[in-house]
Amino acid sequence: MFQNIKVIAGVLLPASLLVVACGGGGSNSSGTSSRYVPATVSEAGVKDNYVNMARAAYGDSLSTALALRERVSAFIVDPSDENLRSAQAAYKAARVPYQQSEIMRWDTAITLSNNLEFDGGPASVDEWEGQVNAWPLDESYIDTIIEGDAEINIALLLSQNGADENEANVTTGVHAIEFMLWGADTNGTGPGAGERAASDFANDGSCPDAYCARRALYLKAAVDLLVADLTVMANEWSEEAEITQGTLAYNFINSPEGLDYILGSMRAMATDELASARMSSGLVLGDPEEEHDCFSDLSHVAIYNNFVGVRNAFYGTYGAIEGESLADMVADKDQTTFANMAAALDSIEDKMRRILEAGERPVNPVRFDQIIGQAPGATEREIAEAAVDELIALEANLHAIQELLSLVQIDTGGGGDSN
Amino acid sequence: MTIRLSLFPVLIAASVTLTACGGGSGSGPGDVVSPEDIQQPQPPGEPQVNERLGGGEATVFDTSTDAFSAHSANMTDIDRVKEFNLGNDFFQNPWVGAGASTSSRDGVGALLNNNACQDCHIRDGRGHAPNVSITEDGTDFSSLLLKAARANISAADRALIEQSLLAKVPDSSVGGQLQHDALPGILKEVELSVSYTEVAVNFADGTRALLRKPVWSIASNYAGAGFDFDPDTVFSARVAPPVIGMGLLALIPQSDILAHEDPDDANEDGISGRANYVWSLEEQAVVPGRFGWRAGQPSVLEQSAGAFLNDMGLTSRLQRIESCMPHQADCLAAPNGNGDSIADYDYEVADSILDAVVFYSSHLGVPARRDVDNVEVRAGKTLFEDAGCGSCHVASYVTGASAEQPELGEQVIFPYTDLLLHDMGADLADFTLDNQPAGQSTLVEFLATAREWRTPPLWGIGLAKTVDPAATFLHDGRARTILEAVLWHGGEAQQSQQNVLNMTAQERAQLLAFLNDL
Repeated sequence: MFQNIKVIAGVLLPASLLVVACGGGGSNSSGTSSRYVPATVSEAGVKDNYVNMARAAYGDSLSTALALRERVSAFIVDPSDENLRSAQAAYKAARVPYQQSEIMRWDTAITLSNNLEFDGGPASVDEWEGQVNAWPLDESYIDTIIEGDAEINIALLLSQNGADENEANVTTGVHAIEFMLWGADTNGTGPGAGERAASDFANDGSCPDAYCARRALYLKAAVDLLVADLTVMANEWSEEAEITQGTLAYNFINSPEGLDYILGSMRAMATDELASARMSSGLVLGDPEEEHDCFSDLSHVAIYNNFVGVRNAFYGTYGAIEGESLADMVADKDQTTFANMAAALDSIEDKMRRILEAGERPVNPVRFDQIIGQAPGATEREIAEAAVDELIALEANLHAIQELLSLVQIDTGGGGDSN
Repeated sequence: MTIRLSLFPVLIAASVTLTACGGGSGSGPGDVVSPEDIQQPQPPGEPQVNERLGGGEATVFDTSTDAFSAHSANMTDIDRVKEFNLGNDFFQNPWVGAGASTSSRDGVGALLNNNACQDCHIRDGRGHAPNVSITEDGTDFSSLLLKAARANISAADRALIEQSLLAKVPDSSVGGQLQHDALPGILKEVELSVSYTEVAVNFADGTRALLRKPVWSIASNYAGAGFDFDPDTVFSARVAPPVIGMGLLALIPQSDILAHEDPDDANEDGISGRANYVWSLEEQAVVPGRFGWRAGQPSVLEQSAGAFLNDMGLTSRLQRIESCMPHQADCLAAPNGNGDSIADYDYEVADSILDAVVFYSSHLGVPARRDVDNVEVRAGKTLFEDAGCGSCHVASYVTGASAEQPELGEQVIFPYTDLLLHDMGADLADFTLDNQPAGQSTLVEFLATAREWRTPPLWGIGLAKTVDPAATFLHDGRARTILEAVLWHGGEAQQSQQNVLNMTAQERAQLLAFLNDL
């Protein structure tokens, strides 16, 4: 089924839906893709569940960041290889919930002009996100700061972030932490990530240069700021925030465009961000540095969980949370539209999981920057290219859902890692 | 001309019917697709004409702040969508200084105006002139830049310019463009600010409009080192223009553009449009210019390569030399970002990226008009034509066939431009350091004089402030509203401006209803 959708892209899919819909059956060839529809599914119920999902996703992002802070602190006190690997593992774990939460980011349309920053909180997820996950990052700018003489603290990182009106002068957030923990990856499209030596943080006199103490200060400040930022965002979605004017949760719950925003976010993440900048640009250009987690070579984890975020947004699920969803609304109105979307998501999921698994293979893993370097026709490259094509073709399903639910296509601009 | 199967109406037809069958789901407020768009069959050989679809079958239907960011609606080939997305990535995301590990996107500067296309062409739309407060002059030059050209030039140089072999003689302090930003450790070329003086314009019915006229403050940072601006340098302020519909404009047959030329005003209507002729780096020949505020660029490719070089300090296969002056030692010594992690090439923007950005720019869709049959809008269109606006803002063309751009070829389009140069009067002219209009005969960009501007396309103008509420109008962004832009028209457009001044309040509202529907 899905292969057909892919080939005929956006044109014939609605027509094929039409046949079934008018045929009056709403029947499905596949029993598994038929969806149970709760007795009641309402806009309010979907939005309420979405807030629960956001709360959990940001809560997990914060708790994993706290775990990262603990491991980083231990590493700074005792900069052993083992403690470095432990901190790196905590970084990897923190990527999972955060990348799933990233679907929240395209909220410009429901936040713009609402002056949400007037209470001191963020104006939008999009506005807040730049400090947390910005890319591309010019790592030489971080080295310049470390090799300089300004006192290193959170205030310095904030003052230097985007300095000289250059968004690539990223001094904060996960990719800055990633650079501190891994260093630049000099292996090109070959195996291997950045090879930061634990001795770069030595505090026993064996530092290879004059900057170990400043590196430690930098890493600590960046992690402390990440925790602070995630605390802010978790608070924006707390139970109290839901009933407090000026918070992102309250704004979302009361936005007449809440459902439009959910669907628009799925579109932005799937058909644009994932299908272009995070996957296709590297595959097309062959440049391994186009993978976004280019220091750690953990892009396979990042993009897989970005896609999980898309699924979550549709099915109303996050971890153990499950509730009323867009999927329920679609299934309630038209089982065929639902089945087509479910099949499309399953097919992409299959490919994204295989990319994830290739990267996680205990022996000879194939990481995303290696896939970028693979010749046309190589196994993993074929899978990745097919995933990109299907992510783009998801537009047809999203369009059908938009029509079915009478949703409005909202602004999903503003996004992009840099702004 | 052959009529090709229109994919877009198929999609519309299906979804419209789906709504009918699916029972109940009406169109949302932002859903502008309606059954009226389904074209009746036309006789063979006749193009489908639907004024609502300004970009023909490539027209897009987004009316949100993303209205300018969608690809041609009739682009269905997935590899072409991927090419568009690749271009978008490099149009939107910032380029970084040389030496970063992101080697495909490094090498910006050392001197630059901005480091991301999108930061000037805001959400693919237009930029804005700096705002001022009661106490502070405007210093936000993030989406506006200044160019510089010498007025007193040798007979030999003038001859070269008149043969379109030379664009201009650049200022000896900062060159042909004032890069007001630089990488850390590099001296910025200039310090800029602007203030505005108020200019009152009276309508015949006694209504008064208050316009703002910019007063530019420009200082060279090389003055102390003995390289101040040349006394005869004239400056030109340019806001980043919207990028929509570029590929369609590129396919307007040259003969259809030249047909509107009337350099000696033979028809005595006061309007004497003429084409700019420019040196094409790609073709190594003199060809008509088509893009940019003065039609100084012949193609989207050359426009893009020029912007990469001059606006961002990025070299490409067409522009291989960084724009550093001989006395800018820091700029000359700055590392370049040539090549990337997998290939060596002696410039910064890889061919595949340049081509993708050109593809992206060519395929940004033109939004459909929202209310083309509204009585007020229709009345406004008649007033627009009666006032003579359409003499330069020529409504419609049919694009030529294109094997490379199948989405854009053989389309009936409504860009409202003749792509020709017109004298717009002294008020809008390029200016000297002390803000005096440059001499009428000063050539500033190939054949364009200091008073001549290319008629800008009007399509999408009604959504300019939706895409960016800060958007301003005219080449230097002085007009805060579309009406202000109309009222600044002088020179050849003086009579049209007078006609607008003579309109009643209702007629003005109708004219604006039309312009806001574009």
